[in-house]
Amino acid sequence: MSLFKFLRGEAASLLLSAAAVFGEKPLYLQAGGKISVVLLTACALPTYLLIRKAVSYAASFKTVGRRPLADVVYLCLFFVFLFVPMMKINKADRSQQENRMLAPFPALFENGTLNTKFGEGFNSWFSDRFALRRNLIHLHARLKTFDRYVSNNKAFTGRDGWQFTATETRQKKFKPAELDAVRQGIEKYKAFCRENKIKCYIEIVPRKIDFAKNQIFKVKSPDVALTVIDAVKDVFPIVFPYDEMQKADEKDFVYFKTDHHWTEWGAYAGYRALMREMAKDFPALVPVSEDDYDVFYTDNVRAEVERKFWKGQTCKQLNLPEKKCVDPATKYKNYTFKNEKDVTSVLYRDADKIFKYPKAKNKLKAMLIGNSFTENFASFFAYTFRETKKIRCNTPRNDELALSRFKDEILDFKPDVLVFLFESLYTEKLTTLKD
Amino acid sequence: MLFSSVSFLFMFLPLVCAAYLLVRRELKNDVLLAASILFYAWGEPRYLAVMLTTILINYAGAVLIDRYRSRGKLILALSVVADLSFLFYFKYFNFVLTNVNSLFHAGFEPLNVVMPIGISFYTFQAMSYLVDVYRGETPVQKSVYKLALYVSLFPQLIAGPIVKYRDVADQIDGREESFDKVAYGAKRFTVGLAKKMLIANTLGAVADKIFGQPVLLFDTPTAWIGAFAYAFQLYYDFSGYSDMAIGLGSIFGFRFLENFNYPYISKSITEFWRRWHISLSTWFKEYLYIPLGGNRVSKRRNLFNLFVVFLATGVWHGAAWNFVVWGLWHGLFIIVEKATGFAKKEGGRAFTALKHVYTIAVFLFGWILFRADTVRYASQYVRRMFGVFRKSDVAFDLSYYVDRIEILAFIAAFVCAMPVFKNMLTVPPERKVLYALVNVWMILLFVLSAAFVAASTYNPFIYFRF
Repeated sequence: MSLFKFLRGEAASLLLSAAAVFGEKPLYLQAGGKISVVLLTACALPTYLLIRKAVSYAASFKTVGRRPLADVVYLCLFFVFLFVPMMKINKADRSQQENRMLAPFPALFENGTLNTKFGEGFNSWFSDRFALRRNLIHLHARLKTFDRYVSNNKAFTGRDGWQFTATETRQKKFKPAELDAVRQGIEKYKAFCRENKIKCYIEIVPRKIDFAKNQIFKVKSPDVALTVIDAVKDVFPIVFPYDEMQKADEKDFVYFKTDHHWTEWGAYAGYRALMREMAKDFPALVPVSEDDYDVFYTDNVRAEVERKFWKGQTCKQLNLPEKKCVDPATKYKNYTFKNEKDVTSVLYRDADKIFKYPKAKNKLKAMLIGNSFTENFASFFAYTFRETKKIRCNTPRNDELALSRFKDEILDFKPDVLVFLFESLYTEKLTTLKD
Repeated sequence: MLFSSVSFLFMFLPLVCAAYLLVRRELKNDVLLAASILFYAWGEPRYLAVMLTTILINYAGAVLIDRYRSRGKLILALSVVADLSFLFYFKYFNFVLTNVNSLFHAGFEPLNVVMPIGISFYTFQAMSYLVDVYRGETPVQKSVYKLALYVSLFPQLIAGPIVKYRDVADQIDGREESFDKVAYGAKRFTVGLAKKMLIANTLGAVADKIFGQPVLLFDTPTAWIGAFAYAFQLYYDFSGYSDMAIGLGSIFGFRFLENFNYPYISKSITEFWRRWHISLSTWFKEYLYIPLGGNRVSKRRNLFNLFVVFLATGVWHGAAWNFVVWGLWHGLFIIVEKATGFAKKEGGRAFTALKHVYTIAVFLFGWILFRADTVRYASQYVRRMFGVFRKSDVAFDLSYYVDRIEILAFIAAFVCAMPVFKNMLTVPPERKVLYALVNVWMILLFVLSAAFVAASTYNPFIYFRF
């Protein structure tokens, strides 16, 4: 698409939207089509005065000869652009696109005193709701995607449609004191598990940037998770399925291009690595295999608790249209458990689920604590055991891993196996194990 | 309220413009004063009292100086001390306290104060008024409202230019708005907005990505790009704001003096300070350098005066040691240039090119001091620029930090830092085609900038960390 066509398209879109600000609703003076004389007078009088004032003002301009037409046009457009956005305020409470509540109108007085944050609140309210907002944001996104590399402060696009969040490419390094805290926390959990006869495991999923090949940037620093794994290896062996996932990556995608999660195929590789580790403690353990599933491919992302297929969260952060994110040529491997009808799953709190599968090959009870990476992982893990409780450790209220937070729930559920699972970026949260 | 915010651009500005341009002449100052007070109180109304107190002190001070000329010096001193004490309390007190604590191992609790926005600018404006009245260079303003308008005039309230009272005294009393001024102002505002949104913010994101990391995590080319990105960000951000202020002033019939004149093409640091933040350097020249004796003293004293001025310039910019060191860094080169006559030396092309390189190097390293959180980080950063730092932990190469849009912004920043398009806004209307093209370009710039402003409000909630 040429630059001219692109700009012409955007200009037309903006102008049409500006027109729609005024023209979307017919202006009725009164329901039923009757004209209210009072209302008409109330509207007509100030309009007349305003026009008269404007005309007289325009006539009193200090003009020397005729003003350049270009300036007249420019000023008209300039002021129209300034005025249009406040002409129509979006009254919705929620933005679907942004997955959030829009800012409410702030109160000028709170408890009888002036709300000193009124200005701030008003800015948020207006910024969320002004007319043409969507069009201007769309124009911005189109400008960014005019080139195939897109970036903003939160995310960017790499080669071959790979997208990354800013946090995915920047890892915080551990200080010695933090490594000590991790070690102490793990020892605390280990003692707790030993005391309650629970087998405890931690799996850290390698970061996405190690699986996105041929990128414009070169990753040179090793995964920070390795520092932690190395620091605690004599106390607690952490499962890090890097090799398994690299091998799996040769066949299919283990990470989504437009989302920060691993795919179900990636999760399956991680699952097999964990099962190998668990087999050391439970020699009779029978993992599920691919034969237990119907395999299918999609070009969409599925990684969250809702199990919906969509374009992906990184794409959303970049504010890209769906067609820029969903590439029909990129297919991700998905699984449906063949005996799904024999499994009951109950979402009992936020994203926390209990799975019951009486026909499981292993009669153990398992507890899985982790972040959103547990969702795809549970597609295999939850069908391995008789009963599985999956707890999302990162909620809007709390994202800590402290024993005190889970202790009662663990003792209440009495699992045979306790697994912590999260991706490398979440490793820093291991420091909260201690408290 | 920021000029580049949605509320300002699409609510405050059009309403104020409409109210201002439509009311009777005698009400225009009232509209501007009310708008300025609302503008200031919008973000944090509590600090409005500080600004209003400053206005009252300076109003009373000037009236008293005018009435009791024999005691003018004492009244001036008291008023200036009152002005500076506000500035000290809000801006420097905690800095001094922290240093006292670390020097004497004391345990004084820092104050829980936030610096009122624009306090450095309006305090300096107010002080210039007092001094001018004392010197008899301007008549005292009898109307407190007009003085309040001068101090609080919203176009230049929070980021300058620092307008001297004598430069706008006549305009406050009587100015003319015209179609030409409004058209010029709207275009100048657009240029400033584009500088801020399209160049400064784009390159600012590059600079933030690089300066936000330990120097171990980037390589030498990246360090250079970070330094240039920040240098351009600072220039386009600040000069963009000044352009917007001058443009808004023009819409309201004022004429503010220029604040920047292509500083990055300077051939010496002396010249750089004649082109960079002109209103501040002029202020220091008139109200500090000349009272100290200027250059009509011995050479040694003159160099000392320059040292004091640049120390004050550094301190004015912020309450942190890196600003002090930055001020002294510039002062050092000014003193050396003054002592050797370097700034006035002429030579061939090679010599001129060398002077450019020298000047760029000095201000670039100066900006690193300015940007770095600590002097230590700045020193590590400079060492990284020259590869004098171990490279074992380099995480990403340059291509991670700069995409093609950002490269485009770099090119635009580089070209526009030179006076290539200097006369764009003064093309005579007789050159119809060029004139129309400039206006089309202005409309395009405005829409693009508005898109960038709007995009800053796009804030999806991602269920990632939580």
